[in-house]
Amino acid sequence: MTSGRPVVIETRALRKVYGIDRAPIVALQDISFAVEEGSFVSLVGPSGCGKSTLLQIMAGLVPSTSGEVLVDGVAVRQPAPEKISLMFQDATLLPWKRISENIEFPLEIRGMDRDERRHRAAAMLALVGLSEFAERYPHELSGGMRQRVSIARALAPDPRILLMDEPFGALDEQTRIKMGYELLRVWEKTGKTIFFITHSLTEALFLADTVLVMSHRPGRIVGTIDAGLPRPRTYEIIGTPEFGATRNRIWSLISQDDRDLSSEGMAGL
Amino acid sequence: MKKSLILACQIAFVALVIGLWSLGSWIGAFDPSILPPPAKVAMALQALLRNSDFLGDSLDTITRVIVAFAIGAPIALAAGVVMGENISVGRSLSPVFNLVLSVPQSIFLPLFVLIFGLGFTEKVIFGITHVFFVVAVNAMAAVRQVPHGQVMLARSFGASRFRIYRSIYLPAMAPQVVTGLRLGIIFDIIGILLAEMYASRSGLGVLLLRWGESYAVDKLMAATVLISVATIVINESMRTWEVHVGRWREAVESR
Repeated sequence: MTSGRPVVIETRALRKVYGIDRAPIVALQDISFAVEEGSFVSLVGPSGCGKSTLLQIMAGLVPSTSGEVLVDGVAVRQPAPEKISLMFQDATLLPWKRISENIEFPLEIRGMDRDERRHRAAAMLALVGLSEFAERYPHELSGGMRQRVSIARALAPDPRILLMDEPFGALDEQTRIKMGYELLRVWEKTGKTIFFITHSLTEALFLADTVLVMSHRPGRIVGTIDAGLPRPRTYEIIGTPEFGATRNRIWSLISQDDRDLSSEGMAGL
Repeated sequence: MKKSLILACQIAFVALVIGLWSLGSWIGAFDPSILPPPAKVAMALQALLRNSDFLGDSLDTITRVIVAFAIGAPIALAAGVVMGENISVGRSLSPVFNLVLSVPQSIFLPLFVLIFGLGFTEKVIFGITHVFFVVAVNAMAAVRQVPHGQVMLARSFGASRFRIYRSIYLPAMAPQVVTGLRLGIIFDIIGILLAEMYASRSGLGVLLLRWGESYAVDKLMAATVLISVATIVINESMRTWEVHVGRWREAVESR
């Protein structure tokens, strides 16, 4: 976060409380951070720390209790599809639509005409290397391929920001590594700003320029770590002492205020 | 087994039953006043199809079935969707619906006759009660199957409420809704015929009852066969529709 590029996403003292009438649960507490244009930011934290809630607030799908999210300095109060696309752990492809139609779906919502949509979907499929699957149905594709389609669909409306909620969480480890490479390649080619939620410390650090570390009860940012790793990233980087040291720092941030976790030490990884 | 082979077996089975029936009648194994031979039933059927009284009664029954369905199904769909969408409404009403589904509705028939009298209204209302619950319960289940993630994603793409209903709810719900409609129309036919057999001035139900009581077994058998074939045709065409709107589901499940 030292490049001096303009800030594209900013959260200011975000707070989210559920069940206000009885036994309120503070899901998010004082979340403030900034994401620079074109950067890759990971958010890592334990399950149930409010990561997904944060992402839904950033996408304008769920209102915050207080505080605000600014995109290009404008407060987000409802979905802003021209700026932001979303991706979930589940590819959420429409099973009754062909792959190309799925990619066209956000464009159809936007009211783009048919030919232009087709054209755009074909270009996006080429970008993720799935051109020959355009006429197939989602169930005919593997989990990794479906997530690539989901990336293509997210990119189709040409948003500037991709918000990704554990997009590779349901994939096996090998596919997950490949998808990480794939995402980095797409990111470098398109120059999008990516905000990537994961519970994997390794994945968070491997992909990102900056890692935001979240803790739970209530969910809050407990640290901002500059990855400080060279690009392009290769798998070997994961074995370097620098990578290990930074990952340990992230872990100590997550576990420091959580006695259950710190007693287990690294076993939680 | 191959599809064609299965079909051949099924046809052979029906042929076998009719064959044994003919044979039994021919050698005198069956009392013709209880079970007339198939040829006689076929002749009775032919005569019935030219009989304007029979056609008039058929039309009465068909009208009641259609009117009950046309009123009951849309109300049931709306109720089911509301119950599925609104968790508190669904939670309080759906157990009631499931309980009502397990009560044989025929026991209410005497009460219906007392309240609504004999005639069109009583038959149609009794038919509606048969359509309503099964369609509503299926519509409710269908709404609950609509994947939340897809709705959220569509919202993030800026989809309007109408667009979400059209592009996500409708296709996601269609297979189960059509299952409900298929069962609804079959239950509707059961209800109307039952009401007619119990007490009525017109309709197929009352004809069946009358022919049975007067030992007009050839006519009784002919009408029975005719109604059976008609309901099978209705059920199978609904099922074809069901399979058509559910193709994606079959493919996903068989993966």
